[in-house]
Formats: sequence, C-alpha cells, structure tokens
Amino acid sequence: MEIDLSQFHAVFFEESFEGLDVMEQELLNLEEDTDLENVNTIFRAAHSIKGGSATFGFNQVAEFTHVMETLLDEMREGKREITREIIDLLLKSVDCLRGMLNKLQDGDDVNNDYVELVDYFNQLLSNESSDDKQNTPNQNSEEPLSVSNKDDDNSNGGYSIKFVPENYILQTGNEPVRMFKELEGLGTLTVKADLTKVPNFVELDPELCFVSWDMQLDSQESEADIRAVFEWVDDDCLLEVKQLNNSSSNESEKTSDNAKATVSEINSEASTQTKAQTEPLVADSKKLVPIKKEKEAVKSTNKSTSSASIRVGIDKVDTLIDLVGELVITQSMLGELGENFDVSKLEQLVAGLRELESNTRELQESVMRIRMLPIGFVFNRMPRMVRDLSAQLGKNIDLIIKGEDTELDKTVMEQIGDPLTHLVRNAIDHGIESNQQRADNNKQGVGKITLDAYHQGGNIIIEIEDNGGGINPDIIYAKAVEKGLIEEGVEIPEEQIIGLIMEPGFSTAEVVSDVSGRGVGLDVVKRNINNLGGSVDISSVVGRGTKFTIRLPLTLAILDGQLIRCANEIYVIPLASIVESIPLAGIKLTKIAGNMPVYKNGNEYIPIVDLRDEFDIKTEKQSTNEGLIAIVEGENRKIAIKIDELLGQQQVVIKSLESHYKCIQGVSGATILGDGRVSLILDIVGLSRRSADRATAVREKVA
Amino acid sequence: MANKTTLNLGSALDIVHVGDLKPRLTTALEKKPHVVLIADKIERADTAGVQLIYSFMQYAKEKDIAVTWQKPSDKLLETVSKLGMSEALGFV
Repeated sequence: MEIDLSQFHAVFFEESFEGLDVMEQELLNLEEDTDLENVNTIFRAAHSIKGGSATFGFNQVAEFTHVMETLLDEMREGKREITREIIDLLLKSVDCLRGMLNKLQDGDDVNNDYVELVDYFNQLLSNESSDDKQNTPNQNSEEPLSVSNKDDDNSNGGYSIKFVPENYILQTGNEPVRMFKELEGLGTLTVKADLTKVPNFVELDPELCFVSWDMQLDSQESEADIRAVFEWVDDDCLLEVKQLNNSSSNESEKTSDNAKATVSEINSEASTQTKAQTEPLVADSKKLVPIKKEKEAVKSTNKSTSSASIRVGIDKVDTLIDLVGELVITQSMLGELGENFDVSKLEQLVAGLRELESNTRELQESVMRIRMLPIGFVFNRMPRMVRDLSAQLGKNIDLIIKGEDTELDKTVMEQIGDPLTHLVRNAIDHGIESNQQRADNNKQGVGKITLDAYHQGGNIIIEIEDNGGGINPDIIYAKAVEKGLIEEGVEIPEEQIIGLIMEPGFSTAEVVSDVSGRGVGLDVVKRNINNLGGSVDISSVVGRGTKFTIRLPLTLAILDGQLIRCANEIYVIPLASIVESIPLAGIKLTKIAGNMPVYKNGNEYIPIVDLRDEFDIKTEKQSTNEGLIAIVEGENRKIAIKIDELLGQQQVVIKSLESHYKCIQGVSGATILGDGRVSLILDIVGLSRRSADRATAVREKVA
Repeated sequence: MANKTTLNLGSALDIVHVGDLKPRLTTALEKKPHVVLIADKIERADTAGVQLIYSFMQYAKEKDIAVTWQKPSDKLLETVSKLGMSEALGFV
C-alpha cells in the first residue's frame, strides 16, 4: 500500500507560500543590492518548491519552477546580468506561482496562464542559446528547459549511474525504491545492487542501508534531470552520473551575455509567437497524465487541507511542557493534602492554592503566546506593493520597516493586513507628493514611508508615517462643511478636523485614482480597526507628513477587565477604556437637552449612562448620591457609567454572546466569573450609541 | 510439517517493522533446517525490509538452512526487482 501523500499537502503549501514570500522579499532586495547570497536564497526557495511539487505530482508547478531555476542558475553563476526587467519577470513568476498553488490548494485545475510566462523565459533563455550555437556550432547547447527542448536534445544515448547512499539514508525517509521509480519515468532503467557491504545477519542493524547500486538509464533527458531525482539526498550519498555517449558534453556550457533580451522585447514577441512553441507544454502527455491523477486526489482531500495551522517555536512548547509539569506537581500536592487534611495544614493549603493560581496564570499566558506571531508577516507584503505602486505613480519612495519582530495574536494579524495595506497605499497615493511637487517645495530626499510596531502595555501600536505633504485641516474643514458634516463657523480642535477624513464617504482627493481615493476606504479602515477593539489616531503637519497610529489589543481572546456592580449584576468594563472613576457624592450633575444627565468635567460635558435604564435592571431606585461614575472612552467619545461599586480587576476570557445568544448593542461579549456567574462585557462605543438613541427616543416621546 | 518452520512476514516488510522482524527470523533459524517465508500478504516493502531478508538468507545459507518463499506478493516482487535484487533473493 502506497503512502497517502495528500496528508502532507497542507505542509507543502504552507512551506511553498513561505518560500514565495522569501523569493519576493529577496527579489526586492536584489534591486538595491545585487548580492550573490540573495540570488542563492531565491534559487533555494525555487528549488524547494520545485522538489516538493514534483514529489506531490504538481508537475505544472515543477515545470514552471524548473524554468525559473534555469534563469536563476545563470544569475548566480554570473552569466546573466541582473536587470530590473529580469526582476520584474521573476516577481511576475512569483505571483503566477502563488496563483497556481492557491488553485491547487483549493482543488481547482491550474489553467494555462503560466504558459505565457514560460514562453517569456524560453525566449529569454533560448535567444542566448541560439546565439551561442551560431558562435560555436560544435558546442552542444544543453537544454535550459525541460519543457520545450526535449525534442531538440537527441544527442544523449544513456547514462551510467552509481548511487552509494550513506547508511543512515533510510532513517531520513529517503527510499531508493522511490528514486528508482522516478528514474524509470525518465527512460529504461537497469538496476544492479551491490550487496558486498551488507553485513552478517547477526551484526546487521536493519535500519541502516548497506546496499549500493549501479544503474544504466537509457534516456534522452539531461543529466540535470537525472540528478534532480536525487536532489533530496544530495548530501547523503555518493552519486556519479556518466553519459555513455561521449560525443557531447553534458556540462551546461550555455550562454554569454550578448543577447540581452528585455522583458518588453519579449512581451512584444510573445504576442506573435507561433502556437507550436507552446504546444510541447500542453501536448506532452507523458508529463500531463500523472498530473490528472494527482488533481483528482487533491480535489478529494481539498477540505481536509484547508484548516489553518501555525508554527510554534520549540521554546514556547518547552515552556508549556514545563508549566504543565509544575501544574501536575501542585495538583498532586493538593490532592495529597485533601486526603489527610486537618486544620493545622490550612497554611499549606492556602500556599498550594496560591501556587495553583500562579501556575494557571502562567499556563494561560504561555498558551496565548503560542498564537502570537511576528507582525513581519504583514509588513513583508508592503515592500512589493510600495515598489510597484511607486513605479506606477512615478514617485521615488523608500519604505522603512521597524519592529517587524513585534508579536501579536494571529487572528488580530489576519484582520489587520487589509487595513494596513490600505493605509500604506493611501500614503503612497496621497501622502507622498509627486517628484515635481517635492522639487517645487524644496523638499530634500526621496519620499519616505515608515512602518513601525511596538508593544505598549497590553496593546500593540502600529505606526504608518510618511514625509509627504501632510493634511491641511483647512481643506478638510471646508470639505466637511460642503458635505454637511459640520456647520460653518463651528470651532473644532485641529486633531478632530483631521480625524474627519476617516468618516464615511469623505475623500478629499482631487483625482480619484486607481490606487486609492475613491471616497471609500479610510472609514472602512477605521471600522475594521474598531471592530478589533482598537483605535486609530492621525497626526499631521502640513508640508512635513502624516502619521497614522493604530492601537490594537494583543489578543482578542482575553481582556483586562474591571469588574463593576450595578444593582445585583456584575459587568466587565475593558480596563483600557476607563479614564477615571469619581464618587457621585462629590460631584454635581446637570441636565441638558431635556432630561439628559451630564457631568461637567472642565470644559466638556460627559453624558451619564445608567445601566439600570439601559439594560432594564429591576431594582429599587437608589439615591443620586450613592455609588460612583466611571468615565470611559471609546472612539474619542466619553461617557460616564453610573455604577454601584467597583470590584476587582481581572483578565477575563471573552466568549461570544452572538454565537450563544444574540448580538446586543452595548455588549461586546460575555465571560464566566470565578463563582460560575455569567457577566456581560460592556462595549463602550456601542453603549454610548445605545444611550444616545434611547435619549433621543425619550425626547421624541416627550415632545 | 515436521522439518520446516513457517514465518509469516505479514503485510509490511519495511523499515518500521524490521526491528521486530529480525528477532523472529533469528528464532526461526534456531528451530528447523528449512524456513518458509510466507509473503502473500505483503503490501508494503522497502529497502530495509528487502536487505534484512537478503542478509537472513545469506546467513541461513552459511548454516545450511534452506529458505524458500511461499506466494511472494506482486508488491514484494516489484520492490525487489526495482532494487535490482531479484536474483539475490531467489526470484529469478
């Protein structure tokens, strides 16, 4: 029975996507610094994807990466100059591979979009080979591409292969039978085992391999293709591949730099290419038949591979194991104490319980840390975008990334990606001025966008800063008046005026471009961030730039809460939203707009929200002097919640109210307290809206 | 029945099972002058498994103990052939 390879698909896709990210990153680095190590890294990533995809039967991916690899090989050997056109082509290839892998992951067929790119590569590579042929007619131009050159490459008669594996090879999961099967796919194979080194049965360690092999392969394939079969055991064996027909050398002696076709040239040629050039790709039934089988396998296992996974550092797992060990010790100590308990052991019991509490808290923190990933995962998609967009808009922009190792919860990170992308696009499109404008304003240097992330308390702060033209509050004010958002003449603090650009439908862009500025976006960014329990602030100086500061909770699963009592109910207020609490006895309440109680704090009036009214708690009316108010803030709006008593502060595990009951405005979720009671977690922004709506309704009723 | 020991190789003759198989083979050699390897159920075979059997057969030969196959499965024959060991294992 064969091993079901589909069980490894999820890991393959995960690793391949990581590999593509690495390739993209290094390609961008290559533009700035043509370091050979960058090319090597890109080559290695492509090579791994090729190897993996061939193993799993994703032959189109393997073929495509093989073509890429040929070009990369020339680059790393210094035979091909690294130009922006080449980098563009490789970046497009990364996109194309990502698309192919996404389709395979979803169990869909890979369409032939990649063929066009393969043709570009073919053109690029074969142009030079043909030039070489002209220059040195006797030299056999070894095929750069397995896809299209098979028919031309008839010079190889066969190979003699000597394969002497290290004796541990079987323990690494590398099975010679599998390799020989692959070789059989390349031609007619004759295998002879050399058994002279196999030890006496008594001394034999059956997991070690003492057999070596001499093979003859009658094949038209290149030596590279044959060596590729052994690529996983490259360092774990002695491999000799000799061509039996010596009339042609199989050394890759292609290339000189004399035919530097640019991508643009290739583009124009590609459109006029004959169909025959692309046909070997689609018509090579030998290659395609096994793919179909695999595709069916992929489809059938599609659902099982879609579950998300995260990689966890071994140190985090070790910490967890240690903590669980401690917990078990404490538990057994308490268990023993319980069996022989008398009052004299009370102190021991209390100490044990304290230990248990400490263990549990540490365990909780460690478990939460498992979900933490560096924000670099999100930041890393920005350099490519900045590169492409700045080229599209003709702006010179440098992207500086800091704090990419700052960790945050995977769920938060997945949801912050799009808002962050939007803000960076916005900075490129609207923030940074055109080169001409910068020159006109005598601004030195290129445009600069800085991404930074760091922890502050229980939050992660992400900053997106540009050194562009800044936001002119006068223009925003005029636009807001025009849109009827504010009345003319009303005095509003500058930061609030600038904050208006995140209101729905508010775009001051004079030209609606492809990049951003359609009048939607920033409000969605703000809403998404608010939905994550975060906030976004903007600061801007005209002529010097703009900074968006996003503040997000590190995790969505746990909240630092302040427990409060109102009548007989206990609620949780997010600790981060509490500004201050004041006893009611010492303050004066006033009423405005009919019957709405407010607390005057300096120059601002803060509406007072009574949870008894909001949540219709049945209780006796208490005196207005009893209890206290907790001033809380959300989305720059403050409210004062009237409460009876402040209880303790604690971390609470958030449970969704919506999935267990229904969505209630003013309540973001629920938690279970130590005594088993369910307590609602207040959503400050929702509560503020709810109370405003209720006040309006009451006013209308009275009127 | 009298002079031979039969040893059923089960469904897998591979690296996962060679550790357990070796002592069984050793025991089989201690008993009778003729060992019959039952291999009809083998669905999985690899280099480690085939190498162990080869070494066992060589050892048995030294001790003048005959080893014969009973109904080797197609999978076993295929694997042995791919490894170029058909002759060494007496399949040719």
